[in-house]
This record gives sequence, C-alpha cells and structure tokens, in this order.
Amino acid sequence: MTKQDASEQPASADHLTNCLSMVMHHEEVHMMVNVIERILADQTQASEAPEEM
Amino acid sequence: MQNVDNVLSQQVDLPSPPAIISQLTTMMSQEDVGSREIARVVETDQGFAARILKLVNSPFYGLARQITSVDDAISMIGITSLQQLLLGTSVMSNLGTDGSSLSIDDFWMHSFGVGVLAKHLLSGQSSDARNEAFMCGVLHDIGRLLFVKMDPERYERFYDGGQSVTDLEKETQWFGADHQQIGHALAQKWNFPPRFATAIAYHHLPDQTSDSTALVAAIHIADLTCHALDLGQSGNQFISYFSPSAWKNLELNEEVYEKAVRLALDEIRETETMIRAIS
Repeated sequence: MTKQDASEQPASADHLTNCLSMVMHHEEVHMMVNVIERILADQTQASEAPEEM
Repeated sequence: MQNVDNVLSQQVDLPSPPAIISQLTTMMSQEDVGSREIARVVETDQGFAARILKLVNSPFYGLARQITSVDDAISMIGITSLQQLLLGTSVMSNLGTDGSSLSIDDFWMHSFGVGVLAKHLLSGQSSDARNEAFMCGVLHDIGRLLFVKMDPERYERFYDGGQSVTDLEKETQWFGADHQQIGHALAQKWNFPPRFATAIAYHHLPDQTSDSTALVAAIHIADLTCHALDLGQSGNQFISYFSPSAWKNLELNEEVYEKAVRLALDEIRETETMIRAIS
C-alpha cells in the first residue's frame, strides 16, 4: 500500500520523534514538534469521530 | 562539481526535457503570457492536451457542460495551475521509478506536499514568489529520481540501511555525488530558471547560498515538515540537519508556522483529487 492517502491518515507520534530526534536540540524544532503534535491530535480525533456517533 | 560530471558521464544519461516543458518554462519567465498562447503550446502535445481536458471534466470541477477545447480548459483552471501541474507530473512521468521499490505515488505526495507548504510559508510575498516556491517544492528531490534511474538496487540498499535524508556525505560515498548536486545538474540541462536550480541545489543546506534565500529557506522548512508529518516519502524519513537561520529568514514563530501547515494540509487534501484526475 502506498501512502498516497497520507493527508487523510494521521502520522504517528513515534514517527515524529524518530524523524526529528537528531535535531531536537534546536528550539525552533521544538516549536515545529508542538505544532505537528497538535495537528496529529486533531487528525486522530477527526478519524475517531464517526465511531463515537 | 567534478564529481558530479564524472557521475553523470559514467553512470547515467540525463534525460532530455520534453519539448513542451522547455517551452512552458520559457513562457513562465515572460510577462503577459495569455491562455491562448499557452493553449497553442499545450495543443502541440496530444498527451498533455488530453490530461488537461480530463482534469477540467473531472468531478473536482463538477461542471454541467463538457469542456472540449484546451483554451476553455485553461481559462477554467488558470494558467498558473496548468503550468504547475503539467511540469510536476511530466517530471515524475519522465523520470519514473521502474525497477525500484520506491513508490512514485509516495514520492509525488512528498514533493507536492513540500511545494504546497513552501507556498504557504511565503504567504507574505507576491503570488509569483509563492508560485515559484510551489514549483521548486515539487522539483526539489529530482536528484533522488536520478539515483533510482542510475542504479535501483543500490538506491534501495542505501535507503534500506536507515540512512538520513540529510546525510549528503554518505550519499556522495555511495553514488559519487549527492542528490542536490545531481538534481542541480538536471535543472541546468532542462533550463529551469536559475532560482529553481538554486533551490534544488541547497534545500538541505540553505546557509550555503546567498541567492534566493527566502525561497531556499521555505523549501528547507517545508521538506523537514513533510518528513516529520510522514507525508508521502522520499527515501528514509530521518532528519539529521536543521537550519535555524532558515526559520529566522522566514520570520516564523509557532503561530505563523501552524497556520501555514494547517492551510497546506487542507489544500493538499483538496488538490489530491485534481492530481489523481490527470495522473
């Protein structure tokens, strides 16, 4: 399976951590991570929403 | 650049650009180009003309009547969208990934994502600057496609080994040159605008050029972001270099960056339909 539908599938927090682990000493990267974590949380919430109805 | 010349002369023949792409990139650098002139160029290539008509007649536009002329089609989607989508899809289809496990769909999604986000990171700049950022984002990793063309098995062994996408020294050890240098050589052969070639050549090391700094910075930040978001793929998604000066150059803070990323993701979702219609 490709990840062509990636924009519809939340990435994982593990991936985010692994991907940026070597550049986390930059404060700007911390800001990036904060933003991406919020977006991932929103995506996860949106993907779970139909099941809650 | 001696290494790049050696690699290119000994290991791979750079593909020649499709004639229509040369013409379109030349026209892009000119002012006051109208849809009729563009249509005349597109009509010289039946494959391109068919893609455009397929796009405007796709459900994405939901038109009540069928569009049958290229001129009408270009009026519908706009010249900029036309140029961007044709250039992006033609580069991907010409370089391809046959013989490799690299998915061209994933590669395209990563490249497209970088283009869209780079455009939003330059939201305060002119529409020309933003469109340029989109194009450069789409094309930034074309050097990787050439690695696949050179030696698909070596490419797979390299990236299966858990390499960083930003470890250019290791790429040079394996391939004789890194993907920025190879991409830059292709950009020059295809007569891309010089700013495009610069963005391709320095997207991982934006501090090493004093040309087109905002453009190169936007591609750098957008590239890292798309890797972090796991959006498509372009080799192993593991980052070992970040440029704080690129972040400062774009005058980013958490709020501005978040707005750009969210807008970009919304646009990517909407535009995916368009891409599939013409691919």
